[in-house]
Amino acid sequence: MSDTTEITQLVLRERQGRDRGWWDQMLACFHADSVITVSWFRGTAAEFVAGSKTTFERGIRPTHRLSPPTVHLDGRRALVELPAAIEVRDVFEGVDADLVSYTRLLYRVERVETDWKITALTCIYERDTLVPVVPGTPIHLDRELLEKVRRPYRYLAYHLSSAGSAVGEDLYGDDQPDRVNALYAETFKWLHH
Amino acid sequence: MSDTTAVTQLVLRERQGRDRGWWDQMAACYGPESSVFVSWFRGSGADFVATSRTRTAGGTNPLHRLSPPVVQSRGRRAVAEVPAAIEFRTTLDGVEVDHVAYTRLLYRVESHESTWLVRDLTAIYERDTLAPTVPGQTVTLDPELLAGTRSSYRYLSYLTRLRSGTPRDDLYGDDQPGPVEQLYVSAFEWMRAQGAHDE
Repeated sequence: MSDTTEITQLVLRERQGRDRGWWDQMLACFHADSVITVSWFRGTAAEFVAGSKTTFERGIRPTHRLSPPTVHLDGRRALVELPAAIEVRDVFEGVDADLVSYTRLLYRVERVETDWKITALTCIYERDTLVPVVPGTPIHLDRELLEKVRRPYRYLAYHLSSAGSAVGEDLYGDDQPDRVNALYAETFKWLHH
Repeated sequence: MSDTTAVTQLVLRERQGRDRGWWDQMAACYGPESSVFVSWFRGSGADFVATSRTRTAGGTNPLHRLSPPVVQSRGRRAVAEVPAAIEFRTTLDGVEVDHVAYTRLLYRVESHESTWLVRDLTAIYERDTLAPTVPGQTVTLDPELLAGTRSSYRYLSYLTRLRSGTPRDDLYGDDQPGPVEQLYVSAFEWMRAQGAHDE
């Protein structure tokens, strides 16, 4: 199997483990010293898997609908971009609705002895949508709260803040292209070190 | 080509054959003892191809919007999971609507004299959506037809009932995690069982 195929399967397997609740499979994809930064979490892989498990068991089970990964390879390092539409069906202001967060997952992958392992994962937010499950059902959102949150993850922030947990205002989002460009520059620099 | 790439292309080619109406290509993906279990069909791979062909000729043309397959293999056997959004445009009480069923297609794949072929295809239903094709148009749903439908394929059941059919109530769906878990366990056990002899 080529390195590109192996790395492609690694990131797909990591997300499959996450969505299916196969925690051993998910954890096995990471290096012990990895660093994770996503909307609801910042920390190590072990903590990330444990945190994913806790929310999963509380019934929060998002689906990551993936597009094909782009793999950039340089020696023992690789950078993978994996587009993901993160889908959650939940109740918004009393109405069943589908929240879809369009994102790009950026992975740093390194060869550790013979195996490729993930050493970092960061999420870039593009936009999100909210659609009632029963077509035409109005959802009465708090306009003031909605205006306060950043556009790339507007409904996600709205939902989490009405559930009492705040979303960081410093996530990577396409409304702040300078920070996103800096992230790519830094990651490619790491790749070709 | 690695086994992972060969299996990936096999399942993509099977779905391409289905969506394009390239029946020979689709049929060539199935092994002699293959089985299929999806919402509207349960039977052999060969019959699945023949029935897909009849339905397409009758104007039922769904599109399968795929995500990248996850492939795990052991020796001559592999399990591939392919997420698929199955898109179908139809009318509901005179209003044109897009029905999308979000699913995962679980393939068991086996190598026959170095050619990988599908042994089993089973669909797992996640959720589905219904949207009028003209934004803001309203669709009126009959609460009686909606009642008692399973949440993992609610509108699929609704549309089946609307056309006087009876939706199956025994599909694999995320609203019933027990049977889904069992399906995965048996697929991976199948993969390891035969594969172990080859190593």
